[in-house]
Amino acid sequence: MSDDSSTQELVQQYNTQSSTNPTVARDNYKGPTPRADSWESQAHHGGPMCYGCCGTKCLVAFIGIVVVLVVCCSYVSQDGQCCSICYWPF
Amino acid sequence: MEQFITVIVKPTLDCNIKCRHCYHSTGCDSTLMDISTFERTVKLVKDSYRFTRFIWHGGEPILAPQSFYKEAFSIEKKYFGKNACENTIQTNGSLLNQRFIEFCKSNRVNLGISYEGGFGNGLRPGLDEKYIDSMVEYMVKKQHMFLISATIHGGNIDKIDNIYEKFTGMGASLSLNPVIDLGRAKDNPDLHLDPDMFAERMISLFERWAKDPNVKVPVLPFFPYVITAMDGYANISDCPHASCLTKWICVYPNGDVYPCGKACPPEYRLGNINEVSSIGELFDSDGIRNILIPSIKRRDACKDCSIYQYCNGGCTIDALTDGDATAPGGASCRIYKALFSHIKDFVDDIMATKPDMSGYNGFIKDVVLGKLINPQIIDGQSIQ
Ligand code: SF4
Ligand code: SF4
Repeated sequence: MSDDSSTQELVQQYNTQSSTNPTVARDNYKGPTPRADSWESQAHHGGPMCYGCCGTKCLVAFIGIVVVLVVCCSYVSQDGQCCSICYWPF
Repeated sequence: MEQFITVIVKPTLDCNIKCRHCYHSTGCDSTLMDISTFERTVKLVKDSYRFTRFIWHGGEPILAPQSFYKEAFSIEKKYFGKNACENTIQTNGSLLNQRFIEFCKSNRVNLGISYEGGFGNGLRPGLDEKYIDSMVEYMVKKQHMFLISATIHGGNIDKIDNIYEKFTGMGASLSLNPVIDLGRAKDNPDLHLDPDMFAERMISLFERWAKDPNVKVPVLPFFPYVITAMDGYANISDCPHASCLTKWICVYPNGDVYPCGKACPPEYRLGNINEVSSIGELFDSDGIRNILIPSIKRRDACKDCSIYQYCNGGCTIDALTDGDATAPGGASCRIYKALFSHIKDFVDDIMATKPDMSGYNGFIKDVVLGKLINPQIIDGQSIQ
């Protein structure tokens, strides 16, 4: 770099020096996440990803998971194997 | 179209407390930002960015009335729709009341409260600490989104554990920040903080926080640094380490724009929001050149640092405050090097030895679990 470089060249050089962030900001920005939000707010209740924000959401998700499990276990997996539609939880 | 920019808005430089370490040393101009200046800002940001975050700073931002914020938030909605903007108001807390807190809650506004919980030791003259305590208790009870920002200086460093205990004990998220020898702090030498002593105290506090399974709140910068160590790059909110230039702007009450909210010298002024036709024009100004040139030189000088990937050369205003914007090695560099390196070793050790996690707090457990379940997604190296 020289002090005579154009402003755009300087911005380009600065971005090249930035190991990751411009890429994160431009291509991978996902908006606020519960994890990021939790810096500024909610108490952690001990369980994995369990913050004070999510009482109702957790309940709905829990009921959803139970329903999926019941349906899968009762109807789809009668041969003792999981079906290939969902690979929950991984 | 770019994805994201952070906009710091200073609706006024006026302040009712006049803290002894404030960045802004020159008088307290009581001009209030004209709402048309804010609308112009939102419009130009919307022309170039998909998402944005507004951080309301000052001066004391709550000197602007609630009606100002009501109008400001409806302008945001008009241009960006319902959920594309985040807002944080950074206040000294003295003018908060339940009505304003509920107004913030209903508009999903985070509150940042600059407060040491009675351990400021003369930092904020005349502050009614009992009143602020009552507001903090109210917000904890109501589960409001907020963060206490405590400034650690030469006169209260020995109270850092008390500050930690007070806020973690009551369930209030906490950020611990070293004083910067900028603005009024420069005129108050009793506030000067030894960076090495600060780093040492922070390291022992980190150990305490990380190994306390009962702690319910995040403490900053510990939690973001844990995530940085795991992800391989700094979170976008960690401005000193996330290459802020051209990703952050600060708009003053008269519409002048600077690259950052810390009092920048006049030669870093990018222009006036009412006189430019795009945000890109601000990033093609003499002001941006004047901050980019020393930043690039400093980052060149940093290139052999073992944690450059995470630090990216730190903050230019901090380096300038330490005497030379082209050189690393000042107070913030020393603090980051010591504290972040410790946290990185701590995280690496957990990932290598996979210990029983029951002795760690829930935040550390979340991050470790996230990495174990999804190793390929959280990998800074792969997105360079
Ligand atoms: S100049 Fe410093 S304080 Fe300002 S946004 Fe950049 S890193 Fe943050
Ligand atoms: S820790 Fe200091 S030397 Fe290392 S990259 Fe950061 S500012 Fe540069």
